[in-house]
Amino acid sequence: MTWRRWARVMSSGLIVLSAWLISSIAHAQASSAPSHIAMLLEEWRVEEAASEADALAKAHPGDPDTLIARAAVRYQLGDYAGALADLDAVLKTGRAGEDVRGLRALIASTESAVKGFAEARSPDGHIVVRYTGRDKILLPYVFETIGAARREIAGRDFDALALLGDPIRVEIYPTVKHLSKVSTLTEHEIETSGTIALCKWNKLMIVSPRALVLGYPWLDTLAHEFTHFVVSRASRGTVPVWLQEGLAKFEERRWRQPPGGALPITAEHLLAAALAPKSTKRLITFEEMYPSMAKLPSQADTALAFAEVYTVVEYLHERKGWDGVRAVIDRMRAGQGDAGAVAAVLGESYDDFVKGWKTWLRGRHLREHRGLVPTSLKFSKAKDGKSVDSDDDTADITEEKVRRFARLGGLLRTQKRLPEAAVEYEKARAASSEIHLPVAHKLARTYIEMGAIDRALAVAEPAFELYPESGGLAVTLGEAWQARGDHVKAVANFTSAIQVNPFDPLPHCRLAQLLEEGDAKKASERDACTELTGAPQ
Amino acid sequence: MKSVRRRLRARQAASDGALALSVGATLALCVLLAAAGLGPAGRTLAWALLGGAGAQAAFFALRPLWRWRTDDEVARLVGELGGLGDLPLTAVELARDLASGQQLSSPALVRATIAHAESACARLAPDKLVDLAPARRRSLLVLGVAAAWAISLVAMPGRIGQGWQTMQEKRAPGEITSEPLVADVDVELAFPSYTKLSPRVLRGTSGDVLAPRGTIVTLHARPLAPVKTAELRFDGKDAPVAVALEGGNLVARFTALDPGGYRFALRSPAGTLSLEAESHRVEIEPDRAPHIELRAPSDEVEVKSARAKIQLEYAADDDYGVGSIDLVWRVVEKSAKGNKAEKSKVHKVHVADGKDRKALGDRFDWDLADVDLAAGARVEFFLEAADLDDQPAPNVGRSKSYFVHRASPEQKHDEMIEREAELAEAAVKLLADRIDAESIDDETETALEARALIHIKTETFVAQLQELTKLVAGDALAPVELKPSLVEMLARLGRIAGVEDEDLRELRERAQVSARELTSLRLLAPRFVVEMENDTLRLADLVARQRLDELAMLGNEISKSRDRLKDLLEKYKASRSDTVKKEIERELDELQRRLAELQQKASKLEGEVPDEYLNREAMDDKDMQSQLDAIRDKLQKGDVDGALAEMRKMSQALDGVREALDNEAKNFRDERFSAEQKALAEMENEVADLEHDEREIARETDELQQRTSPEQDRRNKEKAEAAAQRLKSQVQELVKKLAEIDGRSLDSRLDRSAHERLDKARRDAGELERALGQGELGEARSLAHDAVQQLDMLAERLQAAEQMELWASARSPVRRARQEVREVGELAQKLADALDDAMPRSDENLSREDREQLGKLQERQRAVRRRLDEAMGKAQRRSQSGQSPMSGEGAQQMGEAGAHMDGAHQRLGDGEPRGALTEEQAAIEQLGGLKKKLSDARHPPQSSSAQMDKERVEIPGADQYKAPREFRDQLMDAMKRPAPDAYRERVKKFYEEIAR
Repeated sequence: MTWRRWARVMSSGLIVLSAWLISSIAHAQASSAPSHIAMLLEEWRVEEAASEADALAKAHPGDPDTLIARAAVRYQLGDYAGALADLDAVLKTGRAGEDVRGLRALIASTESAVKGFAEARSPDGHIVVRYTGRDKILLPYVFETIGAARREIAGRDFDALALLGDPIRVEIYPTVKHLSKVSTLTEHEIETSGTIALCKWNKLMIVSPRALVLGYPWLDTLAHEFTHFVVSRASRGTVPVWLQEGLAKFEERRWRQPPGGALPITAEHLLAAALAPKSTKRLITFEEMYPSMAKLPSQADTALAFAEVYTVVEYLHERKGWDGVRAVIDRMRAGQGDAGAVAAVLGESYDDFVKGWKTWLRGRHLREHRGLVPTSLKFSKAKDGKSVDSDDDTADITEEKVRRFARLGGLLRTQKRLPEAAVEYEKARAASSEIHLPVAHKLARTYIEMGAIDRALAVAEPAFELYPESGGLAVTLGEAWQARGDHVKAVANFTSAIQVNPFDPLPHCRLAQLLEEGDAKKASERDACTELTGAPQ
Repeated sequence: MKSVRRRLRARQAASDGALALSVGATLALCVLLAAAGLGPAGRTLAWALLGGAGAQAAFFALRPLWRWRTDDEVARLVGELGGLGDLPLTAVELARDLASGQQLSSPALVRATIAHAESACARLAPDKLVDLAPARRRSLLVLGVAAAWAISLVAMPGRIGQGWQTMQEKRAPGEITSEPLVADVDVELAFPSYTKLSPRVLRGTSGDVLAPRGTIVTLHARPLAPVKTAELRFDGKDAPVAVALEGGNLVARFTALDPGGYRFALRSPAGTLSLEAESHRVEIEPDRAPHIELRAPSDEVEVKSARAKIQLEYAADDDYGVGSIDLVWRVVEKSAKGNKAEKSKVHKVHVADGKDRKALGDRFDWDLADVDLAAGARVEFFLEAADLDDQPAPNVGRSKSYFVHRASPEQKHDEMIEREAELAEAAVKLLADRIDAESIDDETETALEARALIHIKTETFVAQLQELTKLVAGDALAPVELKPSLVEMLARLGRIAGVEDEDLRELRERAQVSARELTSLRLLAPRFVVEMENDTLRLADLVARQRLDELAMLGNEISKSRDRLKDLLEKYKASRSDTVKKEIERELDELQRRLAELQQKASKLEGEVPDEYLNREAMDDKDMQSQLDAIRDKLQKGDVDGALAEMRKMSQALDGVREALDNEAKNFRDERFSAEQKALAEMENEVADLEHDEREIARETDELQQRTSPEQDRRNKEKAEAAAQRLKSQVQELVKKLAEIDGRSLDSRLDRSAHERLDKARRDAGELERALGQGELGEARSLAHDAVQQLDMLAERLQAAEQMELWASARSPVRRARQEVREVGELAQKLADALDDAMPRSDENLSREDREQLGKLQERQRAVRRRLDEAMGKAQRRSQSGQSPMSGEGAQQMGEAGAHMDGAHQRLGDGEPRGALTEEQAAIEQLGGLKKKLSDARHPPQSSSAQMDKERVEIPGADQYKAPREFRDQLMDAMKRPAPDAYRERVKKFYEEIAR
């Protein structure tokens, strides 16, 4: 997944920044205590760092090195104003170097980005979310997702509940600009790389799905980032990006289903293409993944590398279970290298491990999905983050002929000439061997609006298999199933839609109708529907 | 009886009242008319007559009461008129007797008689007994008199008013005498200042005064009898004006404010008061309003730009002097209900300057930026001239009104785009109908009608398309490919529709049509669908493309406005001129208007332009609006640096907007338009990219230069001070030696230029001393080098002159002068060298980081230069294939841009950011020009708003219709040459015509 992949790429950048912070602190300190605090922060032992910083501040109040250390701790605990006050005191002494100024700039930028944000704590008190405006409707889902992830991922899988610290901090930003302000990424980098969430500085940072025209799988992304958080804490920051990414991908749906789950279609497609006997492509070696997966020559290679590491974790998990995964992390925390740790846990040489994994992979008989067209995130250009979904969403269709028919379909839909629009969309569908998401989605919608439910299902279901992260398609399927009277499938599809685009009122309103009386979610869906439509349900 | 009496009294009152009113009103009218003629003397008689009229009216008012006071009179009349004889009277008398208790022979008989009379009278109707007709006839008399009053009031209101005034006037105390009281009346007039008239004395007058309002009048008169005291009494005024006795003469002074009259009232030593019978008249000479004429280029001036200037000419005159002249204008909005006008606004054309200007005229340019003339708006304007009269307020004259309206090709273009959008929508509908036509079941009876109906819709669409194709020709801003596209569309669609039309006509003539016979129509259906699919997309693309182009053009205009504003702010910073400040305010308004227009146009794009080409965030101008406000605010507070800082901030945002808009239009063009257009657009995009990158380099160079220049200035100054100290004595020596060179020794053999060189060298030396003293090291260095050059050339001239001398000796004055000049030249050279050494090296003020940055900029400059070379190569290839406007001037511009880039590269390498910046800016200018040229190749040249910015609408003066003088002279000379006889007359006529 592009955004996750880039999230990891940026994480590596942030690790460098963190190292710079640590080294700057270490450099600035004459005494060993601040250096120790810096080391604790580097190892994600924030609570220990906080108590040491407090003790140090009591012993040496006003000491610039102490203030810098405490500022770094405060920043990681979310006390941006406190951190700035400490750094300003350091600046007044005139002993601040460029590193301290850089740190101050980052914290000040973060503070201004979250200025005016509200703060909400989960009912169990373990999660604190900073958010603003309409993102309030995300809170119940965030609490539910991280609550479940905390239980399953941190508790059962990694046995790391005690290492998490309390509370877990989440910040939801309304726009990409905000994420740019709180990180070292530019808006352009975020938009082109698809980076949409980060786990760094002891918090989970996520851009609201309202910043994207069609939303994105934001709850899985949140769980993905939470996995990074758990792994970083459990490993004291020693797990490299490739393994971090494999583990996070493996666990991102854990909050709603058992670990692993089906291999994502995109990943399967890429792996199958690389493993095909006569393919010109080949698997990326682990050596090639060093020093960073972002350094691979093409985006396709990077995507393949991510798919591979996902299966590595699958392989490891299949062979040694969670005990094995935890053992790898333990070894790495103890200082062993990643390849060595994996091989040691598996009880074989590294080469044998690689051979075994490839054999296992081939044995899975992965298949290529021919109709799949890679999709990308579509960022909203509206300043207030409002999504604008138009009938001409054909920009991503690269086949000119398909695109022309799809445009005509859109123009006819705008004029409410639905049967005629369907004719054009059908032409677009017939013009390609691939399943283009915009074509399938708009055609299915058109059929639903025409009352041709069977046709809608016939178009939408195969498309949804290829594009399970399309919220629009999920809504369309939900509507089709509801029209058919299959409420179970309708509920499942509407729920999926909310996991992608929670700002579309339709799935909330439909769930408020469909869920059984007494279902705890019914009331919250009704509230969300009312909130988004402005009309009581 | 009672009712009869009431009626009788009413008749009497009406009749007598009418008579009394008629007589009284007639008398009053006569009295008023007579009083006006008689003057004060006849007033008594008039009042007497009026009194008589009043008495007569009172008599007639009381007469009815008196006349019918007793019952006997009434009873007698009732008996007479009612035919009852004396029965009523008898009954009245008997009733009186009975009531008085008098002994009557038979009271019962008396009562019976009374009762009989009562019953007889009761049968009589009072209205029959008393006829009111005579009273009505009398009232006609009143109407006659009223008519006489009305006629008099209309015909002679003044005379009646005067008569009434005469009647009202209080009788002045004193004896009115018809004998003259004074003689030799001299009138001295001191005119008000606005008239600029000198005081005047009129001797031996009648005492009558005629003067402008506000004139101070001094009267000198000789009394004809001994006088103790005297005063002037003004008609209709209570307060007299005191008259002084000076040397036996009477002297009085008053200010002439209103017309009227005055009389001398003299008291003799015996106490007798005498008053003149006749008033001396005081008349006020009217001050007319200024007369002003305005000339404009035409009654209805048409401009293309909101920033146009209209040439206006005026001539104004006034009897005493023209004060101020204002240009008054108001926006007149044409609406269905007529012209709706805004409140007038004023532009000062001439301000009263206290000078005597009875007539003045001028020609000036009216900058329409004052008006903020929106496209399509119409403005009425005229001049108002006020005189200097301050008694009590200036008189104002107004010129003829003219109108100016802004013709708007943009508006027309907007309208055209709207029509195109409507057509695009119609195309979608027709496409839908044509898709439906594919599924018509020809087995049904209505199949033919259904197909015919769709055919009618097609014909309607074709007609719309045809009309639009015609209209597009008048749209100066339409893209070049629009019309051909429409024409092609029309031809294709028309062809298929023609075939369908023929088939339909043929089929309709048949009584019965089978499904098989509809085959030809059925086969046409897919052709129509394919055609409509293509046309629908093409029309949608054309509309979207024009909308995006419009926005991009607007973005460029906003950038230009920004640049002008930036320049003006810099200018204002240096000059603090109010005029510049006003210009800035106008430019701010312009920018604000443009931003609002951008927003409004951008909002139209949704639904017509695909999302991927819309950057809503870039078009959200809230931040820019607040920055504009901040600039205004800072400017208002006099913080020009602050305003410039805000300007820089806004500048970046505007660059972002322009870039986004350019990119959107560019992306759309790239994606959706033809290869030829694509080639042009590609070239434009390449140049735009180069310009953008060069601009970035220039921006960074500027920042670096800004950062380092204060330090450089400081160091220059330090060095200059040190150099001034060190070189002071040498400079003084140079000045001294130059002064010592004997100019006379040059006289005989050298021309004037040699003297001029010497003088120039002397001036340079003097200036050098000054520049060094002021720390202007650069200027000092330049002056020293110039002095060296002058002296070298002078020495050469002297040497040449020396060689001309046959007996040149050591004592030759020329040789001596040459040696002196050489010596001084060497001294000047030493100075120049010393100043060269004193100049700080260009890169010595740069830190290591700055030098690194310059290095990076140099690298980037080289890369941009390389890309320019590539673009030039491509352009050359295209030019050879006839695809490019890059030949000639375009290629030259590219070459010049490249030369400037080389210069910038060199200067960056030399560590001279200032010099590099100049070169970079020159390169940007060349690239900008080139980009415009390429853009013009895709748009008609009229689209350039820059041309309109400089628009000036001139008055078509008579000169403009004449050929220039030289031309006329040449023609007349040519005319003098003989022509063949047969053509002589025609040639003459021809020359006269063209020389006119």
